[in-house]
Amino acid sequence: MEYTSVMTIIMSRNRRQRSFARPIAASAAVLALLAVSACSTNDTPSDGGDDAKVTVRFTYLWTGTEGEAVEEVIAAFNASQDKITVVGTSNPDQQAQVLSMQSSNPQFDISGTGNSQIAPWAGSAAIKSLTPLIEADGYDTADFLPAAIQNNTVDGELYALPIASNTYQMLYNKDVLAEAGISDPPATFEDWANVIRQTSVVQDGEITRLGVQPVIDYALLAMAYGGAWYDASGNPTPDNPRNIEALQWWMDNVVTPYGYDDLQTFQSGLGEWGTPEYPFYAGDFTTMFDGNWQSAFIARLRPDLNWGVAPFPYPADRPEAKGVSRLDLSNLFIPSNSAHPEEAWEFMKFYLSNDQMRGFTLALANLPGRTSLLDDPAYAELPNFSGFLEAVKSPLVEPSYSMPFSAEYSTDMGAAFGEIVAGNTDPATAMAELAEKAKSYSR
Amino acid sequence: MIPARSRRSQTDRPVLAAASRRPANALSRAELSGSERPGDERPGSERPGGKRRGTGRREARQGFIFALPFLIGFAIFYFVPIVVTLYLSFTEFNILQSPKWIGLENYTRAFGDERFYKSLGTTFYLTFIGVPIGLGFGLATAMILNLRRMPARGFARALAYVPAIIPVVVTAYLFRWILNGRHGLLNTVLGWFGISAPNWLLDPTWMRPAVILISLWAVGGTTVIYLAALRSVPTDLYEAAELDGCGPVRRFIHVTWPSILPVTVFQLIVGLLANLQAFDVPYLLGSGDFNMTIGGPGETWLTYAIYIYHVAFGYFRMGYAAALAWLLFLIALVLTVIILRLTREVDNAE
Repeated sequence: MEYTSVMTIIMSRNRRQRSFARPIAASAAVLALLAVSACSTNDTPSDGGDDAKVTVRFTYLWTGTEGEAVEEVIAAFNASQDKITVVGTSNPDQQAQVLSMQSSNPQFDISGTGNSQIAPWAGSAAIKSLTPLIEADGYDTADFLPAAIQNNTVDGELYALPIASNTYQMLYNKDVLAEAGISDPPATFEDWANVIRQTSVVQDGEITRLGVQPVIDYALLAMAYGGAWYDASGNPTPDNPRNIEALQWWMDNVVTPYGYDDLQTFQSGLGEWGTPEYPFYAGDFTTMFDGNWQSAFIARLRPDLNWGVAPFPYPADRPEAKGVSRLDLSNLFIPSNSAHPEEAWEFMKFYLSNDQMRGFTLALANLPGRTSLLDDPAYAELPNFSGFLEAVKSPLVEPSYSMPFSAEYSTDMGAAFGEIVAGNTDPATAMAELAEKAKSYSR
Repeated sequence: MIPARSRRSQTDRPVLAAASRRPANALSRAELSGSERPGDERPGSERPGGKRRGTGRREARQGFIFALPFLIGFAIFYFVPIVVTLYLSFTEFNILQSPKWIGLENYTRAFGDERFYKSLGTTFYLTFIGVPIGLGFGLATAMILNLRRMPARGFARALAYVPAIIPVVVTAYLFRWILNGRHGLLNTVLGWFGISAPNWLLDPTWMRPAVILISLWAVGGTTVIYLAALRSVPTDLYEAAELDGCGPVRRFIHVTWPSILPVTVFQLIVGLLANLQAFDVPYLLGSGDFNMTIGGPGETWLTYAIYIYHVAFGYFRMGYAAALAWLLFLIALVLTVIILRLTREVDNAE
């Protein structure tokens, strides 16, 4: 009976604290679990079956061609095995993932997630520490990206390992820069302001080309400017003076000169993401902040585009900020309620091996999770990918801080940025208000 | 000189009297609310007392058995979750950890939450402006389709309903281009007439009207119901009104409107409840960018339902989301009761 199953939820900190409250609360989730299990192609963990192989269920968030790359890894593993069979399921529904981890009838034995969930899930005992498995096997983790190991370690225990990663750099259109007589990508914010001025085109009061994307990731912009959104203890710091200066820089060099309404009109006419009409490919803007996946996207959608990759500009008075960027991880983890954690670990090790990681990240145009692969010549087939591979070597490329209130904080940041660029407030006031609001976040 | 009111009442009397006779196939409010009991006596259903009672019980039992699958489904998938959300609304619950009882804190938090008011404002805007416009547009369309001289009437009726069966995701993406501020079809057409059209999907002033505009596209469902109601108005009432010298406007006011009032109330309540839960179109139009905005520029499309979803599955604050859901339920309940009361008063006044 589902009620009984709910009562054996694994993830509580207080397992002994049994009250009527918990099963009642979780019964809502049971309904969703019923639906999930109804849709699942895998009914229950199979310990027997053909040749008494153990079936490990791997649910992953990737879909489409990325999902196909996962299936290739699974097929390679299954071909190498006579004791374990891995069955893969593509399910991008992260809520179903969370609900499964709460159930005594989980839907997977191993899965993947990004940066931000590792710490809270580890804190809730929802995922298994890999440390005992690593120690038992003498598995070497020294080769994994240090920033990833740091992100995935909670109270000295390692809870996940990175199969892939992504980072952001400045992408620029070489032809447009050359037309404007500019030979190098902008190194400083001052250079960048010059590129914006020189390459933007306004005809009959209408913007036809802009030197930068009209809406940028403002949090990343502030980081490039030497700002920070959290302090060392994880407290929100929206009113960091550098954040305010970065936002003011954007206002002074983009919004004010070209006008908010005209920028909106320009933006509304831009092509869709993932199509050959995407504005950077179409030459609608000259520079943008974007990630390594663009290497594969451009090769597929606009192979003739003459483009380059450069580090984010840094403020002239702060050259030490050169090389700052954000690192987004794709981590593998084993849930605490995994039916076959040891077998899942065997699969994880196979997946994380150099050969499998190389093939997989190449297929996705993602960066590898291992430092030794950052110089691997195989990635040369991806245009301009080396710029991203080099960037990850910088100690200033880090996962963004993740706290229980981070989602709320990000939403409030987005709202504040919107108000600033619309001219409804100024950066200093907006960030001061955000700092005030951040005091109420529950930790 | 006869006062206007007296004059009108003299000329209207036969018409109003005729209108007060309920058309045989018009829906009563009791029927709409489902309050007419299955055991009510009807001509032709009379049987000797005991036998009739026995049959009635058997029929009731059979009816209950037939209804059982629905009742079980309702209990499992609606009633239990509703009760659970009531409990959760008094707790702090993030799915992974046990709920922690915090009393009324979630409810008091809502009243200090600026997005609570903002999302409620957007929801009320779409409801109180969008629903009357939708009903008016649906009724006008139905009246046009009901015209005797309407060419290709059957085809036109089918055509009017087609947009209502197009998936909402398709509709939203279609309108993202129709309403595009720079290359959109609508603005191009408006441009032919020298009208400087707004940036529908990025200018907060026009973003909510844009959603109402999109909702009119799928007004076919309302139109079809109104069409059925219009066709149920007996023609003798119109003939009587014509004999009394009523023009089209007065015929509408004194014959058509009273006849379709129950249907209007029904559509009003259904539209109100649907709009209070408005989610799909605003969500699809305003899906977040990399700055994590919700509801587009200025959070203009942040409806109450989207906010509940965001709190539940963005912040994983299930307790607070449950409290917000219960507040919405109470708002919907109060509005429904007000509408029913007002309608009853109008009915009594007539």
